[in-house]
Amino acid sequence: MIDAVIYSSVLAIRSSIEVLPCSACHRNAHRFAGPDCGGLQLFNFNNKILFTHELLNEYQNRSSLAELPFESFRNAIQNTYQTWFSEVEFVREDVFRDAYFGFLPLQQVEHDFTCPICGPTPDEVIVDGTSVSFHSSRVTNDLHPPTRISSSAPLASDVKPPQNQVLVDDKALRNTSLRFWNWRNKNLPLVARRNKGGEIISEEELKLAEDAITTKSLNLALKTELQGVVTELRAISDPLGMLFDTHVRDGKEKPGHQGYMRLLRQVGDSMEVLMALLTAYNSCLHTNQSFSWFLSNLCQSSRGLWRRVTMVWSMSLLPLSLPLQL
Amino acid sequence: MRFELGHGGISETIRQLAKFLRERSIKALATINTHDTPAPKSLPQQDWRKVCFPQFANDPKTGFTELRMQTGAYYPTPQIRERPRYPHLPHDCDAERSVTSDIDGIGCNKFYATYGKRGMNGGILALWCRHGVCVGFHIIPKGEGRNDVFSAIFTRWEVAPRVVIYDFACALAAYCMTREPDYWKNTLFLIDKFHSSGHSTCSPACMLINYVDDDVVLATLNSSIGESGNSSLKPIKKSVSYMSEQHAIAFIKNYVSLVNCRTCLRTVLVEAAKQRDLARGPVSV
Repeated sequence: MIDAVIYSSVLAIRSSIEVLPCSACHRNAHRFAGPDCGGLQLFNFNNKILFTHELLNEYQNRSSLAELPFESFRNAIQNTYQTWFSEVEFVREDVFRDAYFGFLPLQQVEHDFTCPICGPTPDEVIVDGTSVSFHSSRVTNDLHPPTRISSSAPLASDVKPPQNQVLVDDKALRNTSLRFWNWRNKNLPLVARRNKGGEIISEEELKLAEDAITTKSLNLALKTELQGVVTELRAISDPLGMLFDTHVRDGKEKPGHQGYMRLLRQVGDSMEVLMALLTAYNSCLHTNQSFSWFLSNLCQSSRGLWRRVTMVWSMSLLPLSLPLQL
Repeated sequence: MRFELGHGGISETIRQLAKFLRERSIKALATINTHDTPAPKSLPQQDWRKVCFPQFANDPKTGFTELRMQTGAYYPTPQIRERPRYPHLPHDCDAERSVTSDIDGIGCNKFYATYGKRGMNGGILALWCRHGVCVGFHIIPKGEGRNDVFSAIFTRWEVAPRVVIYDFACALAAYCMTREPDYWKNTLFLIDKFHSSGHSTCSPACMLINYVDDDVVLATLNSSIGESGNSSLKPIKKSVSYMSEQHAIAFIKNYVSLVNCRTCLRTVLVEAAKQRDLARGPVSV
C-alpha cells in the first residue's frame, strides 16, 4: 500500500493504493504496478496521483468551447480548492498536462469521423485548410501526410503536362476575340437599358455608346481585324464563327443576345476546355436522369448565364447511347 | 437554350457547335487518359496513437505491429492507394498555394496567402461532409496546396466523390484531371459561394452558384460548412501553437472528435425529426 492523492474538480482527497512490484522492471528500480481504477471513474497517473474522469472531462469540455490554456485551467481549479478548503493543492500545470495527454488515448469515441447519414466517404466533400498549427521546428519525420510518396509508390511515367486542352488553341486569337467580346458587351447593354428607360445616362454617353456598338465607329484596321477573327473562328468551327459574327461583329441586339454572349465568352476562356466540359457533363449526368429531364430543367430554371453553356457542353460529351441526335 | 426552345427549338447552329465541342472534348480526353487508376488494395492500417503515444506501438494487445508508420493523418477508412509519382510533371509535390496567375497556366489571379507563417507549419486540411461532420484531416508539414486535396481523397476514397468544393477548385480540377483522369472523370470541382467573388477571371463552370438552380442536391448544400468547421477550431488555435507535434495531433484529433459528436447528435436529431414529420403526413387544417 502506498499513499496516493485523488484530484477531483473541487478538492483533493488523500488515499492509499495497493501496488505490486513491477515484474518487467529491474528489482532495484523500485517500480510498482498499480490498479487501473477505470471502473472507479479514476485515471491512475503514476500510482501516487490519480485524477477523476470528471475533472479531465471538465477540461476537455471547457477547452472545446473557448480558448483555455492548461495554466488557466490549473489556476481555476486551484482557486476552487481554496474555496473548499482542500488540504492538498492542485498539481502543477505540467503534471496535469501530462496526465491529460495520457488520458486522451483511453477515450473511445463511437462513429468517430463518420457521418451517420453520408458514411465515412461522402459523395459531396467540402475541403478547407485552416491555420491551426504548431511551430515548424517541432515538425518531425514521423509526420506522414497523404502527400508523402513512399518508396513503393507506383510510377506514372506516362503522365505528362497536358497540351492542346483549350478550345481555341491559338492564344492570340483567343485574346483578340475576348477583346472584341468585351467591347461589344460593354456598350450594348448600356444602350439597351437606356432604350428601356431603366437608367439615366447623359446624351454624350449615349451617343458614344451608340457609336461604339456599330462597326462604323471602328477604323479600317479594327474592322479588318474583327473580320479576321470571324474568319479564323469559322475555320476552327463554322457555327462558332457564325455565332461570333452574329452577336459580336454585328452591332444590333438580337433576341437572346445575352445568353449567346455568355456562351461566346467561354470560347475565349483560357480554362482547359476538357475540365469545363467534364464539369458540365457531370452536372448533367450525375443525376442519372435522362437528357429530356435535363433539358426540361434548363427550361424551367430562371438563370440564363450558365444554362446555355452547360447545355451545349453537356451535349458535346453525352454518350451516343443517349437519345440525342446531333 | 430556354430562349431557343421557346422560339422554334434548338437551332442548327447550336447543334453543330455542340457537335464540334463533343469531338473536341473526346480528342482532349484521349490525349490525357494515358493510364488506368491504380486498383485499391489493402495497405497496413495506420493509427494516430502510434505517434502520439509510442508506448502503444508494438503492443500485441492493441495490434500495432508497425512502429510509427503513417501519422498526422486521421481518416476513418484505411489507406487503399499510394500517392503515385509523376516524374514528368514539374513541381509535382511542391506547396504552391500562393500561385497567382498564368505562370503555371492555371489562369486564376486570386492571390492566396500561404498558411505557413511566422515559422509555423502548414496547418491542417480538413474534409467535411454536407452535414458538417469532419470526415478526416491531416497535418500539413509546410504549406497547403492542391496536392493535399488530391492525395487525401485519392488515397482514401475508393471512388472519387461526386462533388468536391474547395476555395481553389478552379485549379484543383486541372491538377487532378492531369494526374488521374480515369479516377476523377465523374467529379465536379466547385468553388464555394463565399470565395466565388474572388475568382473574377475564372470560368463560371467552376462556381457553385451557377449550379444551384439546376441541381437540387447542390442547391441545398451549405458550401461554407468548411469555413464554419474551421472557425469552430479557433478555441484550440492558441493552445496548439505552443504544443509539440505529438501533443498537437492528439489534441486536434480529440477536439475534432468532440465537435463531430455534437454535430452527429444534432444531425441525427434533425433527421429523426424530419422522418417523424414525414411519417405523420400532411397536416390537415
